[in-house]
Amino acid sequence: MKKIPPSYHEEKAGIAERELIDAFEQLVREDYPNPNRIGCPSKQLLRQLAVLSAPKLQFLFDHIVRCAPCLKEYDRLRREAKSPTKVSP
Amino acid sequence: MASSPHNRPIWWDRDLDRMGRPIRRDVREAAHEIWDRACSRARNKLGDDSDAAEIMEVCVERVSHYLNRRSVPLPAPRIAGLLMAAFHRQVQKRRLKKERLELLGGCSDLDHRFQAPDWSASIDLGLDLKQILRRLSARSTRILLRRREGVDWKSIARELGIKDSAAQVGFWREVRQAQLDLLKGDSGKKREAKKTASEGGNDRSDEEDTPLVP
Repeated sequence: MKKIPPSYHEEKAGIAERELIDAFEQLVREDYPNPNRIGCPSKQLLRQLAVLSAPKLQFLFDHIVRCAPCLKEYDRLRREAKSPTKVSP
Repeated sequence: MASSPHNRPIWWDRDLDRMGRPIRRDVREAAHEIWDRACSRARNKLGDDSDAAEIMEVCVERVSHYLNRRSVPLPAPRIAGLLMAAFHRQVQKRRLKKERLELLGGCSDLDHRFQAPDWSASIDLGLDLKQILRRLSARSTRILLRRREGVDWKSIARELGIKDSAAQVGFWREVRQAQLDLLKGDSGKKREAKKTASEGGNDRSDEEDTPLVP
């Protein structure tokens, strides 16, 4: 696998973006388990956000980053939405 | 974001300061006006202009707050001069500070602070990263979520309604600021723990000390 060289900002901070993303996933799971799904948007709204990235629904990102079940659901919906021809960058 | 054709550092031209107060438009415009001069001043006094952006951001915030406190109506006259004077003072302060500092290593040595040589250090690194993430603003957390999905910086900036590089520069600046706060907090906590131990008081965990910034 080709190793991506660190960006200028990563080098300056001494942290890889990938490390931050991994820590972020762990943090959401640990700090925001939200088992009772308090304040969660409907599945339909999450789907619209995941599939269409509807600008009007982007306020939901603020909830998703603080709710482990919603983040999981959002990830699943995004994976579903990806067409087989699309390749993630 | 102020940019320059000569590959100069850029400063984050934003609507709100770090306290969430609006930054005056006339001050921001004046900052653009004096940016080239300010860079040149920083180069003359500090040897390079790598700190110019950060200094300019501080000055813009301070001057804007100063004018607002005095209820100076928009647009205030001669702001460029006031801003340049503030910038010059900050540059001088930084130069004096630089002269007082003893360098123990270069930029590359800072990288090792956040690299984990073994499993225990790896756990520490994980904890450090979580502490950094807890200190990020809602906007930067959202940026991280979008980066996780593979969204490029340009699209993120468009979503947030800011200029292209502002998203990236602003995000990483917050990360570095959180790193610095953590490093400062570490030494502060050690002092506090020493004091508590000597007084026989209760110890507090790291989690309690760290504010969860929304």
